[in-house]
Amino acid sequence: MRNFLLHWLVITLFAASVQSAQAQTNVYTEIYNSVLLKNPRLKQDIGAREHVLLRAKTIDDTLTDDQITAIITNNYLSSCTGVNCVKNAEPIQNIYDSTINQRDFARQLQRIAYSYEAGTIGITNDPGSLANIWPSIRGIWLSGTDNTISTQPSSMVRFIKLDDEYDSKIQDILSEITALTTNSSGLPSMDELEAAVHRYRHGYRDLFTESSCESHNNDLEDEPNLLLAIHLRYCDLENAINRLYEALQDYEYDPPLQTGEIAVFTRDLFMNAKDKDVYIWARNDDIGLNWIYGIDSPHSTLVYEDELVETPWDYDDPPEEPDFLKGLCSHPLAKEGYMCRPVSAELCPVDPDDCLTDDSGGCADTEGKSVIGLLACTPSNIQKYTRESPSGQNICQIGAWLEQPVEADGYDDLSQIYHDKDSGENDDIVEEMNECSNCVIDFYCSDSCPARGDEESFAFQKTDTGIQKVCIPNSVESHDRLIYYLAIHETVHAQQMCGQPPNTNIATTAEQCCAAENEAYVVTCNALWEDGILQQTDYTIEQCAAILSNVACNEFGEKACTIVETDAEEFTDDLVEVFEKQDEDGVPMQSCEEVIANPTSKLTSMVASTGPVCNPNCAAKYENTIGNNLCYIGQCIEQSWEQNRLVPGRVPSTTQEQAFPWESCMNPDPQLGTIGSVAAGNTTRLPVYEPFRLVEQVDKELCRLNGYPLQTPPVLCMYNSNESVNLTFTTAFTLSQVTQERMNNDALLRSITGHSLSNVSNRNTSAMLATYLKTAILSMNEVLSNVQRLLLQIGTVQLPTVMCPREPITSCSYFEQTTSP
Amino acid sequence: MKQSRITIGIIAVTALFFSTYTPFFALQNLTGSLVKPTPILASCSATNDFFQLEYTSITRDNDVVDQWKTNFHDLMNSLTNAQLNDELIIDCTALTIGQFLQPTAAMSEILNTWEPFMSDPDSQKLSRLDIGHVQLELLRQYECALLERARFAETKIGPELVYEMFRSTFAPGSREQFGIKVKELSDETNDQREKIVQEIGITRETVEQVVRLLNGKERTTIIKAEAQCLERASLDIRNASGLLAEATSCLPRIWNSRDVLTDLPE
Repeated sequence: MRNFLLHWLVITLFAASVQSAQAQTNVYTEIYNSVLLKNPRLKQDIGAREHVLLRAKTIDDTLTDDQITAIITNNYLSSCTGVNCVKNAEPIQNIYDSTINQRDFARQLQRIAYSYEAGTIGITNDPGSLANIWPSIRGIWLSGTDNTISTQPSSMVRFIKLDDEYDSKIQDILSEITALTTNSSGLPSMDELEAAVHRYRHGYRDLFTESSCESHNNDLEDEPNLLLAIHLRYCDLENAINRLYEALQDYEYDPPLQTGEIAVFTRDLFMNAKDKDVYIWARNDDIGLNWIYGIDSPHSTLVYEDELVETPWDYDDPPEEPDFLKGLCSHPLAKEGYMCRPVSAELCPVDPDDCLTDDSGGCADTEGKSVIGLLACTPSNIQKYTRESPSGQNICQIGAWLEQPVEADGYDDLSQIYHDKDSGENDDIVEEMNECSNCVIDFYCSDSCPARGDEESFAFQKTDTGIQKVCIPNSVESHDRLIYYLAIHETVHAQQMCGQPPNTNIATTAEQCCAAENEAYVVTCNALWEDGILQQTDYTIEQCAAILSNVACNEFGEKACTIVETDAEEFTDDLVEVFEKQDEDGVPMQSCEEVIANPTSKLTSMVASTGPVCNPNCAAKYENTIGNNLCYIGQCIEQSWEQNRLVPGRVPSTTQEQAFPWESCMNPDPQLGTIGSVAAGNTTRLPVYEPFRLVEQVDKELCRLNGYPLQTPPVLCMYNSNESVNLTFTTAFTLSQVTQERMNNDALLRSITGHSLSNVSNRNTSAMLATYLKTAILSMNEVLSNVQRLLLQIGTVQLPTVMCPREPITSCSYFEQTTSP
Repeated sequence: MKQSRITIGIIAVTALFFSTYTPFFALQNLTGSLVKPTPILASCSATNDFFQLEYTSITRDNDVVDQWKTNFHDLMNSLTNAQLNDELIIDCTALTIGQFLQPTAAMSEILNTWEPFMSDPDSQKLSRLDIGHVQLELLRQYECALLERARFAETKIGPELVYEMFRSTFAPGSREQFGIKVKELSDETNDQREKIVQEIGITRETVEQVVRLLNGKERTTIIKAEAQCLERASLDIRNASGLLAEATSCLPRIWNSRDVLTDLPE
């Protein structure tokens, strides 16, 4: 029980923002009241008193509750005069004092934890919070390509404001929250709600799908306290939350949610329990509760039965880590924290459990010196390859940034352009080609695909008619769940070849093979990460791609692409282990036919992102992000550059200078060479922290203030009020009064001097923060200034308003008159 | 003899003055106006209007300490609430941190009405992140006021009791006799001194915990504000890039525009 209690305490204090239901307008008052609790004469800590009553009875069972209360409040001389009172007063007061100190310490830690976590907790429905601004900024900037080729992927978050259709269901939840504060289950009024919020802080789905609420043991036994209450389940509340969840499952997303994308729902009504310090949060995959301000922590059972927890740090085993993507790690921002990411076994081989031991059993280095063994990582030595192509778009060529294929006039059924569901290996659908596509990707399933290396799927070269066959196996030797990921992998190869001339082999050398395969496997491994599979192994996306590239290019030798210690079998075994776990959990799996017939939004988008976007009369549709806009602009410019003639004097391979006689009329380009360069990396670093120097400085000032030379220890410099004379003694009465006043003043002065140190530290840390931010903001400012400068320059570009004449003209005045300024 | 002592005293004071201030004058001559005058410091006493109460409002059941206590905690409560609940007002194009992260309305009122903030133009540069400094300064003044009252309790409380006695004695129908006993004064004085000692101990700890909490929370405020500005700027850039993409979609119109073979279909 002790371990259990301590775990709970540790979890409570350090892992999350816990706490009580307090109206959000009373933070100051709550803190004031908690300070009062330290003086039992002013205010009694009811929780502490309850437990001292229990403990005191074990010391002397003849004591009544009133007598114990009198002892606690230091009134036993008048209210509890029996021998048992006098005898037991000291041990009982000691228990009360240590309980009070314990609880006060816990509260203070709680508030510090809250204040630090408040801005970054990540459990929120407020789009304006820091936890949600980052995904929002990311969403504004990143292109679909970035999301698919990133080796450090992050959650995509979409905020959706609900309409009043769901209000009645939200009201049901609010009613249940209110009901919890009035229930009479034996707990103080707010404790049950507090326990419920603790229970559903990270959502209700895991509990709800794990077992039936009604069959859960909801008996508080004989001791109504919070510790037990947080293990209860609140079925009415759970059912109300579930009704909202089910209603939200029918929500129609426009555009559809991508794989791994998270929808966060907002509604003002979610905040309607703020008088109880509680709010509701809702995502597409879960719904839960949380505290607005978790500033109080009425730990009702720091003293449990007859065992007193002496210090909060007196714990033995750390709390159990939550599963990946569950609990704390289910929240969009939190899942990117270091606690929720796997540690690469290859790059970070040092395990604290494996360290050498010193004399006392702790960690030691090779020389036997005691060290704290946490983790040590080495830089990745995975070799990088860059793929080059002679023509076709390179910007955003790989990935998924277009929502649907580039649309041409006259095609109603777009799916026919890129999918022929009935097509087999020898089908020819060339008649479906149009001016808006470079190729037609034609998937088909087979029991025996031709393949490179040890791969089991294959993307054929583009034929003369523009068809790109992609063979997906009906079954995969290691596990059939890989079928979908092989389809993604081969689609990348199709993207690589789509813009190339027919029959281009993109992997004739080891370098070319490694570059092509690594690119394709990065996208594949990114998909494995997005689906939460890779996180359950010890591999990063980069390592995953490196290992699999070696397999694909083994015709060029063993580990031809890069040196990685892990062999493919080991990696595959780890993957298969996760897949088998998914089988046990009943996670649905797609067969080859299903992958082709009902492609995921990611696969659809990848297939769509192959066409030449800038061809005349072709329309492209994509999500409005800066990255996607730049993909469009970039591809258009590339297309213009490679296939047409835009810039006088620059001759692309397919045009001739003789065709353009008007270049002599061209003004000098004022923008040439003026595009701003991005500032060199201006890294920020934390300012030097010199606590010893600061303390020394304070000591020196303290001595100087009181007129002493610098003394060691500096407490010798303290002002001694007993040596001063501030009032004349006239009578014995004033003598005692003055003495008392001096003692009071002395105590106050010591207290104020001591507290002033925290003011000094406050100022110093503020100065450190300012120093740090100065550089940090400067870097940000430089980047933004460059962006602004570039945009201004783009704005000053002068575009001609007329097309060039086809008939001969005699002078340049034609252009001067008709070109807008 | 007495005359000579005074003369020596004047010479000593003059010497001390010049020895103290000559380097300052010299420095000022060299640096011009670079040396900033010492800011006006608030005195360590109950001089602020906040601590001035009308005699008519003071009673033995609700004495000065009680009223200060209520008023001060209300003030701190409102400052704290404003800091926690008021919407963040950000001016992304501001040149100073004070304009960028403006103080809350409650904090601004303090800066405009309390010394030393009122008289120091630099205090107008304070931002909402400086709430800790402001609250600790208010606490210092509160402690000063309480200490001053504790030290001069008899002289302060005496007139208050007299005034209260005056009111009750001369109230219509009163049969009380005018006058206060020494014991009454002594009891009231001891009572208030005890309250003051208790109050100082509790308030200092409370305010420091609140300051710690607010500063911890404000730690991320500047990042949050920067992020919000970045978000707004990103939206602007997205609009600009969207327009640019729109413009780029017209590129085919000028492909091979000088080539007779590039007529586009009508």
